[in-house]
Order: sequence, then C-alpha cells, then structure tokens
Amino acid sequence: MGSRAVMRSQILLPLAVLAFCGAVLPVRLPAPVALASPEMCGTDGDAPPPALTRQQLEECSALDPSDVELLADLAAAYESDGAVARAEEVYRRAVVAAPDDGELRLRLGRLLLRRGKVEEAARQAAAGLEVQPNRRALLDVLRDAEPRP
Amino acid sequence: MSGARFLAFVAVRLFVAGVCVLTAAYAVLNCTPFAFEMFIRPQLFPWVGTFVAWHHLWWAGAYVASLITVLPVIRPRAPVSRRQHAARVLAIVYATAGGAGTLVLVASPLLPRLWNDQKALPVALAAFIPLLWLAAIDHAAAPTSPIPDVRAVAQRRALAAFSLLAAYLWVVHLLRAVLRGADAAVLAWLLTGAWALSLTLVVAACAYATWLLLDAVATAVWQPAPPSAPAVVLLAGATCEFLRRVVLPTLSLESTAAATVSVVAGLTAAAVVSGIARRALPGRGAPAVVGPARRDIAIAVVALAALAAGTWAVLDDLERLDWAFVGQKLSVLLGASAAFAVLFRVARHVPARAWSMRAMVVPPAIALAFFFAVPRAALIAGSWTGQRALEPEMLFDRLAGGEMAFRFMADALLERAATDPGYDQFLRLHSQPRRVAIPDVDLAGPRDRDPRRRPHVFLFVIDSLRHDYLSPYNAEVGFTPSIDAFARDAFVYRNAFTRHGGTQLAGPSLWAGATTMRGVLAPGFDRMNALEKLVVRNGYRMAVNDFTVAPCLRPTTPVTRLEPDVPSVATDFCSNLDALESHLDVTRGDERPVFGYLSPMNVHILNTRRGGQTSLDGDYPGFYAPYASRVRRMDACFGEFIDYLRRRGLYENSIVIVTSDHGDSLGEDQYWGHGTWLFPEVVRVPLIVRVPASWRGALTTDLARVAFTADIAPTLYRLLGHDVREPSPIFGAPLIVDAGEPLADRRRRSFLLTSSYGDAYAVLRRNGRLLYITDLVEWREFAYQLSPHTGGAVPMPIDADLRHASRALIRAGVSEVAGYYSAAATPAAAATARRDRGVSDDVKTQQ
Repeated sequence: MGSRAVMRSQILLPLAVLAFCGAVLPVRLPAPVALASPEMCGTDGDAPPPALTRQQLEECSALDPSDVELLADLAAAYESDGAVARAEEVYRRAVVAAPDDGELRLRLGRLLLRRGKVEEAARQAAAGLEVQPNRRALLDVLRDAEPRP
Repeated sequence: MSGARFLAFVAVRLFVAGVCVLTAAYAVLNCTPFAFEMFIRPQLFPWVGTFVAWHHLWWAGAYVASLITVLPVIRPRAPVSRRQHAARVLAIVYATAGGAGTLVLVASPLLPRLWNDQKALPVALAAFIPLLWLAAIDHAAAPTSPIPDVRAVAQRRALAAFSLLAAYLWVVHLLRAVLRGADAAVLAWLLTGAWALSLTLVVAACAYATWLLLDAVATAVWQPAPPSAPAVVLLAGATCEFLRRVVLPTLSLESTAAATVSVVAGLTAAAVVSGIARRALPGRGAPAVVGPARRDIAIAVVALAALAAGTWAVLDDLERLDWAFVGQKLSVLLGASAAFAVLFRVARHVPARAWSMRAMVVPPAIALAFFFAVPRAALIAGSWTGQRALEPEMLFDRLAGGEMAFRFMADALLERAATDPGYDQFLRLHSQPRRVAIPDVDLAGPRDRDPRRRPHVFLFVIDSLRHDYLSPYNAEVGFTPSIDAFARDAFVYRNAFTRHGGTQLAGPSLWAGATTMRGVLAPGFDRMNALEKLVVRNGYRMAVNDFTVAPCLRPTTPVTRLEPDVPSVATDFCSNLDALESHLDVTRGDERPVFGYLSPMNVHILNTRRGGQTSLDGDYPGFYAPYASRVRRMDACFGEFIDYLRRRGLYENSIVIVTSDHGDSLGEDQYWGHGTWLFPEVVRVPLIVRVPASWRGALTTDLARVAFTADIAPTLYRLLGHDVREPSPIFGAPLIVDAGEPLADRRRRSFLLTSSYGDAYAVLRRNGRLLYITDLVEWREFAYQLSPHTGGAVPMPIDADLRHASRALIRAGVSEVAGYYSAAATPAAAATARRDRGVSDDVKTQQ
C-alpha cells in the first residue's frame, strides 16, 4: 500500500471501528420474556380501577399472586356470586400475602361469621385489631363471634 | 532542566494548580442553588471555610511561586529564538497582569463575598486563566528536539499496551469483587467473570481505536507528530466528559454551565500537563534511551502491584463517604491511567511491524462479539437452571456491579433505562431549583373538636435512623431495650416512609405536613409551616435543636434553641436530651405546654464514618457496628429521658414520637449514606407514636397502612383536637383518628418520592409493597418488592408494562407537586415572593 493509502486507512479504519461502536453501544441487557403484567389489570393509580369481570380478576391475580388488592377484589367477586367457599380460600391467600392488612382480616372475619366459623372469625378479628386498634367494624365481628348466653 | 530542578518545578506547578482548581471548585459549588444550600451555607466542611477566609493569601502565594518558574523565561541566559521571545513576552505580561490582579485580590478578597448568583460562574472560569497562561508559556519556552518517527511501532505498541491494561483491570478488580462479594455459586461467578472481562475488553478496544485515530490524525497534521499527542487529547476529553457526565450532574448544575466548565477544565488539564511534559523533553541531540526489556518488565510488575494495592486502599477508604461515587470513579480512572502509562512504557519493547488492517479490526471485533455473547449465555443459564438470579440484569448488578470499575464501565456501555427523552427531560426540568411561591396554608379545619387537649409534644427526628436497627421493627435487634419498652405502649407504624431521600426536603416536608420541592425552604416557608402554626395557635412554647427548618421560624414564635453553639454535624441526642431536661426544669413554672423538637446527627454517615469507622462498644454481628453502637447509646439516653418524664409526672400528659427524616444505605450493593438515591433502606423510616394511655381507648389507627413523616403534622393537629383539612393530595393525612371514624384509604393510591439532592424520583405503590425508582444521576431504574411484615426488599426485574405504568405515575406525581406550587403563584403570592427575596438579599450581605 502506498503511503497515502496507508495514512488514509490509519485514519478511516479506527474511525469506522469507533463509528460502529457508537452505533451499537450502549446496549440493553437481554431480559427474559416477561409474563403479561398485571399492569393491565390496573389495581392502583389515582383513577378508580377498572371494573373487571370475575374471569378477568382470576387471570390478573394468576399473573401476580402477590397483589392483595386483586385477591381482595377477586374474593369479593366470588362473594357476590355466592361462591363463598372460593371467596374464603382467596381471602386466606390474601391474608398470607399481607398478614398485617386489617381490612383483609375484617372481610375474612365477616365471611367466616356468615359461614358459622365463629372461633376462626374471632381470631381474624383479634389479629386485625392488632394493626387497627379499636376499629369499630372489627370490634363488631369480635362481639358477634362471642357465644350468646 | 536537571532532574531535581524539574521535580521542584513540578511541585510548584502542582501547588499553583491546586489553588486554582480549589478556587474554581468553590465557585462552581456557588453556581448551583442545591450545592450552595447543601455544602456552602451550612459550612459542612470547616476546612473549606478556612480556605475561603484566607484565599487571598493562598492566591498570592501561588502567584509568587509561579513567578519563580517563569523568571528563567523572562531572563534567559542564552540567545533566544522567535518562539522563546514570544514566551518571554507572555511571561512578562503574566507577571504584570497577574501581579496587579493579585494585589487587587489581597486588598479586596473575592471568595468570601461569593454567593449563589451570576458572578459565581465567571469566577469559576477565570480561576483557570493563570493555568492556561502558564501552559502557553511552557509550550512557547519548551526546547525543540527531533521527534522520532515512531509511527512504525505505534499500532503494535498500542495494541500490546491496551491488551495488557484490559488484563490488569480485569484481574485486579475481579479479585477485589470476589474477595468482597456476596456468596454466590461457582456458575454465577464464572458468568460474572466473563461479563467483567467483556466489559474491560470493549473499553480497551474503544480506547485502542481512539488512540490510533488520534495518533494518525496528529501525524497527518504535524508529520511527524509528538508521541504524546493522543494522550493529551484523551486527557482533555476524559476530563471534560468526567466532569460533564459524572461530577457536575450530581450538583444539579445547569447543562450549559456544566458543559462550559467541563470544556475549559478539560482544555486546561491537557494544556498544563502537555506544557510541563514538553519542558521535560531531553535537549537537542540527546537520543531517547531504552533499557533492557527484563528490567522494564520487573519495574512494571512492581509498579502495577503497588498501584493495585493503592487503588484497593483508596476505594475502601472512599466507599463509605463518597458523593454519588464521584471519588471512587475518579480513583478508578486515575488508577487505570497510571497503569496504562506503565504498560505503554513496557510496550516499547514490542518489535516494530508495518501497519496492519487486521490488527486494527480483529481485536475490537472479538471484544464486541464476546460482549454480546455473555449476557445471552447468562440468560440461557438462567432458564436452564431455573435460577432468576442468573439473569443478566440481576447477576451482573449484584456481583460485578458491586465493584466500582465494572460499574463504571457498565454505566458507559449499557443502556439501563429504556430511552425516553421526553420523560427524562420532563423530570430534569422539574429538578431545577426554582423560586417557588409558597402558599399560605392552614391545616386546621373550621371546627375545633376538643380545644382542651394540650399535652406536651416531644418529636425526635433522628437523622439517618434506619427502622431495621430498632427492635420493634427487627427481632434480631437486641440493643434498643428502651425503645422496645416504649413501643409496647405505642403505635408502631410498620409501613412508614419519608417522601424525600435527604434532610434538605425531608425536614421541611415533616414541618409542613406535605410533599415539598426544591426552593420551598426559603424566606416565606413559615406560611406553610404547619407545626409552627399549631404551636402558636395552641399556645405552646418550643424547645428546639434543628438546623434545617428552625432557622426559618418566625421571630415572634416562642422558641428556645437548645445547644445553639454546637455545629449541626456534631449534634448529639444524649446531649440534646440533657439540654431539654434542663430547660424543662428551669421553666417548671411556665404553664404553657412544651413542643420539643430534636434532630440529632449521631448516626449520620459523617459521624459513623469518622473515627476510623469504629464501634463505640464492640461487635454487633449482622449489623454495621459503628452505626449500631451509636443507636444503642441513643437508646439508653432515650430510656433515661422517658424515666425523667415519668418522675416529673409528664409522661401521661405527653405525646412522644420517634422517627427519622430518612434512612441510610449501609453497604447494600456498595451504596453508603443517603446521597441522590431512593433505595428502600433510605426511604423507609421508623415511626413510633405514643399518646397518653387514657386516650388510647378512644382512638383508632391502621399500623399496616402506608404512612409518611408528612402525616405527623396532620396527626398532631387531630390529636390536639382540630379538624384537619387536606388542601391538596400532596398533603399528609392523620394517622390516628377517633374510634369509629374512617381513615383515608391509601390502598390503591400511589405516592411520589423524590431525592433531595439529585434527579431521582420514585413511586410507592400497592400500599407500600412496590417501589419503582427512576434515577437520572446514574441513568438507571430499579424496582423492589417490599414486605411491610418483614421489612425486606427484593429486587424485581422490570418489564415494559411495569416501566410504562410506573413512569406514568411518577410523571403524574411530579406534575401534581409542581402544579400545586405553581398554582399558588397568584399575583399576591408573587409580590410576597419578591418581598421575600428582599429579605434574602439582606441575609446575604450579613455573611
């Protein structure tokens, strides 16, 4: 190669390498294919959550089992449809996910009262009162769970 | 110049450069309101004040010292060439103009009068002028000598030097990561090692190509070019980019000013170093001496080993007290530069060969191919083994990312957050400090429920106290028995957060009972100081030790400042409590109830870092002992104070609150302190509220509902018998209400959290169980699943939906806060703000 050609390649080749690096960098790290996110299910945000059907709630909560709001909504949907056994099961899952949520304890306690499981209802109400002391609704459950003379 | 004379010459020039750079740095800190309020006004580092106070003498000393180095140019001993004559003229002008300027400065010192105004930036730029002038003199006066044509060996030498540099960096920093890193499986470390190697190879390849390009361009221009030309240009570029992208964004300096300072600093660094190097060139006719290869290699090995040890030591030392990793990144950069200088010298023994296209293209190609292959291999390994921890984002951050060198490289080579210029620009725009119009806010509703309630109130806001170092939050803690006993009789909020990751905004937020923004803590803050208004309305007297908000209290508010002469950084909880007890004793006859507010700094990183990071009393397995030992001491003093209240018969007529303005990072992923970030350990706080026992039966609360320190003020309003207004969603709400009343529902709300010191924002969702962070200082995003029950935080992978929804919530939150303070900018408020600025000017001249 003549000296001018060498000089050209000594400038152009490094420039090409840097241009290529500039084009491909920075890179995003590859991520696993994500499960469809429960973002579609919209459990928070300042706007009211969309009214989802029971089936949609089941799909959404399967996508994100840790979303206790979804679980609570699903359990409420089961209650509305009369599927109280399934509602109880879902409330229990929600309570396991968020044992400090007094609202869940209240809902589960009320459901258990309706199903005649008074001792369990009292336990749930007592647990709820640990985090929501003196809450009237929980005291009512506790009172209603007491054996009548 | 002889060896000894040259060393003396370099020493003097280093002194001059030090004075100029410190002057410029101080002026730059004055340019940005954030840095001014954070570092300059509170005089956080006493040595800075000393330097500023005596700056005129330092400058005069630097001028005289620099004159010594230019005198030989002014009075040459031999006949001079045209260039050297030009150097003489430059030197004479430097001596006269510099002398006149120095005299003016001595007569009327500039730096102590510097303020956060438009003069700061010109002063910063002017501080570089002496260095540029001296560099011009050096270049003009430097002896000329035949420049050897080293083009034939440049490529091979550069390839050898950069390859060895990559190997050195990989070995030194990977070893450090392994020795300090988390427990991980062999496969994880193998993948991490491969990833770290790919990072260093790509960086080295880019540097290699840049070096050759600069060398070829210099040769085409100068024919032949000085061998140091690529190094000089790289120095200028590296200095400029390091300042522009790493240092100045952490100070929130406006981008045009940052670019200007960076370019000037980069050019100055290159000019100064190249000028001094040229003065050291051998004289005409003296050939360069190349010693035997074995000797050079032996020297290089020793030098590199010493360099590695020194780099480790400096990184260890800086780790726990660094500002946004600037010091550590600079150490890595300087260490790598020094290593390259050693290796480049050794590489001169590489046999010369003709220019090769293959040698230009193949090494970078291999480096890039490896760089793209390793993450995919990690992804495959993760799916084969079922371990999500092997996925690239989780693995590389946890193991390689803990080592600063690899983190630095990854920051440059990886796109962390999905690019969204609109989102980035929107957040940066709202990060700029501004003069906000502070509204006149009254949290008290129209109806007083029980005006007879006037218990004493003691609010202890312990700077940087973490919730997981207190036994009510962490069963593993056995060193806070007093707080444990206190908490059994109190409401312990397990899901409590601060809205801001640093005192500068967290303090005002607590006093105002609202989310704040930069610019709020200014004259006029009293208009929304809810706690101050509560104190005045209810006839309280205040006993305060606080350096953030207390200076903004109205002169008419009845305040006793406890221990006012103790500097902010030295405030001690035990001493504060003693002073509070003394005050209560002395004012025993005063029937007004007391509002006591203390914000001690016992466990601030500045104090747990001092004293060689030692524990006050032994080991604390599983905890950071310097921090834990100070928590133990504070706990003991707190217990004594509670005993004091009982003895005085005040305990059952007192509301006592223990909290902190924010938490602290103590080595999680190598983060220390509470700089610009919003990680779970920084935004979580303890919040323990004790009310008189006789009140408890009539009150209700929700201990697991998300709570904020901004809720404390509304809570006190309610406890003292007032209805509480919520002027805007950015305000807090009472945590405790009468039994039977509903609490505000926060289960489905999202809450904006902001950094006090940088462009970082977060949204807290799902009743405090999901934290999503956008950090524009580090150009990264993070997501965590939080457990209020255990206090744990688990990093989550971020998918597109999570990113999209969380960014929308952050954007909405920022708009809401900015909109509230903008909406308050009525003409009347603007007039008030102008009046406030008149007050601030008075404060300035008093300094």
